Amino acid sequence: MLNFLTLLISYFILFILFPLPIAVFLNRYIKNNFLFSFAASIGLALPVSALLLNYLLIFFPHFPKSFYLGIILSFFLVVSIIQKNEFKLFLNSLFIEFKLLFGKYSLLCFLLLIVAVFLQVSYSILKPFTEHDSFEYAIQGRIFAKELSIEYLKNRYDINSGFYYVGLHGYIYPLIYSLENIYTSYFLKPSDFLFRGLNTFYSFFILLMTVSYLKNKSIKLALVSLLIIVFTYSFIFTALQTSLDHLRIFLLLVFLFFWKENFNETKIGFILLLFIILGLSANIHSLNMIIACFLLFAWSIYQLINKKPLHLIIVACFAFLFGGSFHYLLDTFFGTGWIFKL
Amino acid sequence: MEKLKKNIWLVLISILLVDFVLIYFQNFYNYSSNNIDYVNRGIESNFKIITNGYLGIFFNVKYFGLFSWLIIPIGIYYSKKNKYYFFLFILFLIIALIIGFLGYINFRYAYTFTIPIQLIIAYFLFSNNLFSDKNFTLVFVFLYLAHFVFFVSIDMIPKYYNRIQSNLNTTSNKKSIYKYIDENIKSDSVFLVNNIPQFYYYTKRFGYFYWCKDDELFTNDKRIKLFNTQNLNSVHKELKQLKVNYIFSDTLFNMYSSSFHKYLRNYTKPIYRQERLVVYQLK
Repeated sequence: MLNFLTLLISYFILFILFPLPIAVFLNRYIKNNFLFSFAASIGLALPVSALLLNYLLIFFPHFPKSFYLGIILSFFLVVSIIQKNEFKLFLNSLFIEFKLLFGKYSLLCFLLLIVAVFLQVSYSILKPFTEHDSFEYAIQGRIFAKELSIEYLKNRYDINSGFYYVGLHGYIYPLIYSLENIYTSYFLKPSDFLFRGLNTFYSFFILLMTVSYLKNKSIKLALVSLLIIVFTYSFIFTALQTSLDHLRIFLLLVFLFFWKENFNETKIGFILLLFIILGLSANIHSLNMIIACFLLFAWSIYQLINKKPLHLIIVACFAFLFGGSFHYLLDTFFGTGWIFKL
Repeated sequence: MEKLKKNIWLVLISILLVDFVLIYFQNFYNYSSNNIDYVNRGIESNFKIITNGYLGIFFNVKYFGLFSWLIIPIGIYYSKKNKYYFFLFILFLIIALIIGFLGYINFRYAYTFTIPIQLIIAYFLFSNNLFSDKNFTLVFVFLYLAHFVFFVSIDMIPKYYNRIQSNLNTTSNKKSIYKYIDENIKSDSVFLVNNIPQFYYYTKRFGYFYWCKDDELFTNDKRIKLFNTQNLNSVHKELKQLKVNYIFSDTLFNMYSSSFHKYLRNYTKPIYRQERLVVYQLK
């Protein structure tokens, strides 16, 4: 029962409270779609928290656990305070849009959402943990949480257990495990339920975000898209597993939707946001890193064709690196050698 | 486009015929292969390695649905409208081929593009008013549903049932192999762990990480190719030098290396077994 309550509270913080300031910020670049801003930011707060933890463990290793949690909390608090004037307006608009969309069924839809969350939390607790690769990330996450530091080493070998981390990818996914391990250690024995159920949650976020994005084009298109995603075998097959796949696909989709929504936008704030999201996606998996490089290239070509200033591309590259792809540079030159290792 | 709209049912039936051929040869035709890894991953024949692997993004019908390959004609259609779309389409094909040729072994890599592809297909049909025909919309969604129910019942349910049963026995059973290791094997014992990370997650014992398929044993400062140039006796001595007393492996994984399998048969004895997981003691 304590597990269930802790999990509900942590979900509320990570998937409702933390995403709100991000949603308000995203909303500056999205026209009349408050639900999409919120749906996209629901899944962004957790990888952003893990990215912060990543930098903290690199630059400020071996501090007490409360230091790391405090900094992450402060970050979201500061972003909220900076935007405090827009908060109320955003929340009001969000509720109005929800009511307009569902009309007299608003309450029913809201209750269905709560039931869906409840079912997913239960699934996270009851689901057997079986997936080979996720064990590797989980063990590495546990090692990070224990050592409270990240160093770039040629061999990522744990001298205490003999475990050798063969993963090539960024550390955000293992660090989500570390984050859960750190905050649950205050309440009970460190648990892994958030980590286990993460993929199922992100499956839900993908659907939520897609429907909220497409509903402004056409309700029929949104519903058909929802059905064809759900009835694609690989979607459900992946959704039921403990894996990083739907997290990385979610982040890639946020980037694609966000780019499509603002194809010609060149404000610095937008470019920073867009490419930090792409950087986050790249950090989760090396495959996303490769795809992200092509996307950055495609975006840059579009700017050059339209004779936009070159400094925009430089800003995009820096945002992309800061968002998480910097890991691969560090790993290539100071760590395992990434995909170039012999 | 007008031609397509007029003959939409004929086009749909043609698409389904192509899909039935793909489904049959990808899932029901028997191919003989000795490569157990390829059999498990559904790429054990030339036809399957091309359609499920290299070009899996478009033609792996089981995982990515009946219509994924339509992204190619749709991409060509949009490419004709705009030079930048043409550039994006070519870029997409390059990425798809890179993923296909580097990651053909696992459908998860190709899956990255499945949702964007489905959305582009839906958007194409919507923007060309094909969804304005109620019957077409119903048939289109029904085909997805039928495909999904079919593969869930023949593939997912049996797979998940076995996996959950196996996992419940392995991790929560009182006689779990991990409990056995923690309770019955001395704390200073050293294991050779054949690519089973669960060992580190559930036990407190020390184990060198090894993967027999690549024949790589990882230590603090080097990677050792155990069976590369040595006979089994030398391997045994090398493991003794590393103070290894036990090997923890999966009987399915053992099949990936005949040398490793032979070593287990001749130089170790199994002392505890739970389904496919076995603890071997070095003689």
